[in-house]
Amino acid sequence: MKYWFLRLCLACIPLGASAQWNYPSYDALKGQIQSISSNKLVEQVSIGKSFSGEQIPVLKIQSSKEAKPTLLIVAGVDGKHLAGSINALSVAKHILALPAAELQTLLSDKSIWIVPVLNVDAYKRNAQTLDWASGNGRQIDNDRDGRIDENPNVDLNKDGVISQMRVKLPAGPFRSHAEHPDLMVVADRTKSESGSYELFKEGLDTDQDGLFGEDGLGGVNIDRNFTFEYPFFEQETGDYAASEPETRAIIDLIFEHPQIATVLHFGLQNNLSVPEQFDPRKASERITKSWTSNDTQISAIISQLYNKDMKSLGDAPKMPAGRGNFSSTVYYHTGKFSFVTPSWWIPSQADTSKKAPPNQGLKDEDRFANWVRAKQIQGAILPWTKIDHPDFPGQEVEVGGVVDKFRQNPPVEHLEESGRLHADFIVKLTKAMAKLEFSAPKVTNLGDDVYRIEIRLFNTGAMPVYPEIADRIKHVSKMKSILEIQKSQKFLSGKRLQLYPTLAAGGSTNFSWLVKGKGKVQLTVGCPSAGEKTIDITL
Amino acid sequence: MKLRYNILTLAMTLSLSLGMAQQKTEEGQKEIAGLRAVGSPSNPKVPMNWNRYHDLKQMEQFYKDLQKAYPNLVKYESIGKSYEGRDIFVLTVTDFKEGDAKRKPAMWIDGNIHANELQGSEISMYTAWYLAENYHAVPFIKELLKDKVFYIAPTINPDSREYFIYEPNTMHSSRTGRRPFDNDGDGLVAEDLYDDLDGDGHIVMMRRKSKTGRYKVDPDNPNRMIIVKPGEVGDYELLGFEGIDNDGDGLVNEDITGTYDPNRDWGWNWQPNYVQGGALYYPGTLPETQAVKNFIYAHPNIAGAQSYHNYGGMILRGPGAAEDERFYSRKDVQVYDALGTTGGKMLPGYNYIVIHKDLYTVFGGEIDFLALTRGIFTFSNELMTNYKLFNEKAEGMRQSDEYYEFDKLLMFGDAYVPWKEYDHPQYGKIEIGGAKKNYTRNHPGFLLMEDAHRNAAFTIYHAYHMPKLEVLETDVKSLGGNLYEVNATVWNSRIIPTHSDHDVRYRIERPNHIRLEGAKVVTGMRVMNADFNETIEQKFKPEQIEVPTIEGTSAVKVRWIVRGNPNAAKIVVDSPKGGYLEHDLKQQGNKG
Repeated sequence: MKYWFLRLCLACIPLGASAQWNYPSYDALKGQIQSISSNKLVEQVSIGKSFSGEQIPVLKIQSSKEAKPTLLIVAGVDGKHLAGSINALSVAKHILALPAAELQTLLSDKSIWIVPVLNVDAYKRNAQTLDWASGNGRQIDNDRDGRIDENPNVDLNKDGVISQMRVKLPAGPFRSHAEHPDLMVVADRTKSESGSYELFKEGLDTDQDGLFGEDGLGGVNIDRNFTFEYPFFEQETGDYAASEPETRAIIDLIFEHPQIATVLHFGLQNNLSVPEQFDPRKASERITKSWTSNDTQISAIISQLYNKDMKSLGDAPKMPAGRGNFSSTVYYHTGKFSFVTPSWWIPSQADTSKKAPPNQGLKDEDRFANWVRAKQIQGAILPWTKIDHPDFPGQEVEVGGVVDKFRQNPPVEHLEESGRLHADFIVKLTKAMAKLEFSAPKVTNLGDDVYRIEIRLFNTGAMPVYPEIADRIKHVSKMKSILEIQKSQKFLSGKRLQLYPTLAAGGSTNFSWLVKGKGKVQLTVGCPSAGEKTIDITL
Repeated sequence: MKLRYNILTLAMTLSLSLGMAQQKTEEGQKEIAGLRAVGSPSNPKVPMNWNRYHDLKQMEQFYKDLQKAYPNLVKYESIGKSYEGRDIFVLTVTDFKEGDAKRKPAMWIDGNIHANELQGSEISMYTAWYLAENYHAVPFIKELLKDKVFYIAPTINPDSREYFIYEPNTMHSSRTGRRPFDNDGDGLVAEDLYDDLDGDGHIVMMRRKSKTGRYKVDPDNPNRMIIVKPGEVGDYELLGFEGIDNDGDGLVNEDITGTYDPNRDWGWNWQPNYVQGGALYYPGTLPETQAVKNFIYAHPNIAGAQSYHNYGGMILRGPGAAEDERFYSRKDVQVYDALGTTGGKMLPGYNYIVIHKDLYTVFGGEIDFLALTRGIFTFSNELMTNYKLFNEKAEGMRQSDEYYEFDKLLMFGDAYVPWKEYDHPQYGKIEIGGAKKNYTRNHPGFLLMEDAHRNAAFTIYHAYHMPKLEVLETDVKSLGGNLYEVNATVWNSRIIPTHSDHDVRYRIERPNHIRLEGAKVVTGMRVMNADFNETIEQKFKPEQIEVPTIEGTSAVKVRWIVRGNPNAAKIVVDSPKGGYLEHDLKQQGNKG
């Protein structure tokens, strides 16, 4: 396996040596996906094709093809988040490496499905080319000027990366950071700081609109193409909501597999470190924009579970999900519990020596620079080198500074711990999902062939059978009971088919029917996201 | 913007009436003045009855016949397949010999998105037929088809149209498509359909004698049930449309195929079904709406659109939701008002109104998609109104009894199934009867053709007012040395701008390009005020000046500084929605 080989090599580098970015190419990643699929507990299926025609795989970790309540893990939605894909595969490997008995128990009544890279086009491009963008393979007019890709990235100093570009001016908004001279920060006018630079993305202004490298390769960002509060006419959001095949493929997967109970997204938002908050005003509006009160309680419980497991990773930055995002759409429009985490972040305590000041309360830029220095991340913040720039004749122009891809994606070797911790959390999350149990059915003979059937159903899991919002969504399969009776029998009370609202964690529901006539009846109760049970009762 | 549309309307009427004098040319049919009822061909190449409805086979035959009869005016193509694999056809109607059809300002017309609303298809077909059959007889139409192109999709819901026509339905059912969904969340799909209990092909109402009923038979009309007055005792209860409880959940007809709404499947302000009933998973869940969207995006020349519905006699414009009111600027609304008000005159009994204000809120509708996602000036006519029955407004409290009267006096009872007894498995002894599926919402035959013409005329008026650009004047001045200044004025003679205000604000479509070809351009600029020399210079590609919009009945001025005498140069006006034209500088230069 290439991946392990790679890791082995990395491990050989002496401790404290600088770390390289080293993300596998898409072909290498596919190799990893393939090798995971060779496990007999894994079935690899395509959920559809990307805009450029690449298959999008889902890895189904399950003990059989029988539908069981399922946790769906999705990564690589925003193309700039390669780390999520690496961690999703790392989770798959860790789960499959669990002791056989433990794994068997876990998969006896649940399944775990993983879509490691939804935005395949982006991974392919970003892992190997200069073009670092969130979008898929569609050609888009990023700056809506009627010209397609007319202002692509240009690596001016030929160092193999697109970094930043600063132009010295008598007065400008940016200055060098006091401790990290290669990091440019906005001069704080309220503290009488003065700046003397303008800061741009490294590149040329081919179309003379004042923007550099703003319209090159890179299509629609799938994580901004979903239906919840879709941001129309913004950059990389597409022509309209769900315009992209990747967007539709993942939503179709969720609706066509009602057993999917919970969705966990490794992406660029976070509602696990900081749980969803209940906002009564937003929750009561026609277009609801807050989780329901009961659902936020579940968010809080899962968040506690998460933070306990991730303690060693330190405080995560606040990154609420929102407009056009996958995760918000999964909750509000598909009616599933929806959690999202970047799965890796710059640790709050970058320097483990006690003397170093903690990162808490620091700006993102400072955290980033501290981390780069402490971990000797090579190539993340570059020294400035002078260049001649055709758009700024006779001016002092330098290329250097921050290389964007490092912000959310550390060198691959740094993901190891977070991958392992998330696998542990995912096992707990899977176990927490709803599980149904019956009481023994109670049949009372009322005489003259009239029977009362009573049964009680319990949810023994730590989560409801589905979130409360799902009760409002037509296409989510609801809790139901079906009592099949013989032709010779008749309902005196109750119906053959009855739907019920969601059943809370630790909750129970009573069902009862009055049936006239002897013989066998068959009762099916439950819902796909918590499991269905069928029992025969003889009257 | 000053809309001189009154003058233009006058001009339009004038050219229409002038057209009558002239009759046939080589391709057209012989017209005998005394046989031709004005406005209609007396001897059409494709004879049609416009007082009936058509199934898909008949519709396709019509497309074939029209294309065969007028190969230079009509082409039809499939733009995609429906859920059940039927073709969705679009007729392209234009003068194919004049200019590039893909570059002419285009009018999109579709019908029958709600399949029970049949007549949108007939009216769309009539429009294509009328344009082709009158091309030779009416100079106005000839001119129109030289400048403009019509994309006409008579049905964008073919599966369900066929289902409505040939299967048991009510006048309201089969609004949807044929993709089955689990509508009640019980995990079963389409398990409780309508049941044509008496097997007569109509799904009508069920009533049952009841001591607690609140209805009685109208003594004047036995077809009609009326609510009894407070304190009065009724003798019937109404049990809804014909059907039984097929899945034993105590509900009748609750899981019919597709209770979704294809007109809630579009990509502007889409909302899920708990906000907007009828919505599916995401905009474009259905192959039919996807096909139309793809066609619309492939044709950026579409500047106007009409989407036919029934019922109620309305000329609707967006937005569908109050929160989107902010996307309709005063300027854009003025354009809508100019067209819609005239429409109100052309269509007696129809009112020009705004969807969310005067009808109801719609999220994810087609009209908003066309108007706001693409910046297309779009109307949606709700065809048929009870006004048409007796050419008068129905009075407030009449409980729509004009339909019963109309049936009695003009349809002689053809519109209703009389009540008859039936033994129902759940309800016991009931009676079945009521209005046939093609009554109330769909036009009675003899009214269909009149409304087809009036609506077609409105879309023609709408299409006529899509932008028409011309180079009004040019001049060349020597600046001394080898430098020259070239000035050009480009004028839009119609009501609709090349880009709506909304389009300009969100940069939906690329700007208009006014290009100077065949000259060495030093720099170029838009002239905002010629008298005071207010200009905006364009540094990037100055030979091709980018103009955000050319408003209705307005002009823009551009200027270039060129090296060498630009005698041989030409000006190209290249507008996505305003068309493409070339103008030789020399001629005009000499004139100036």
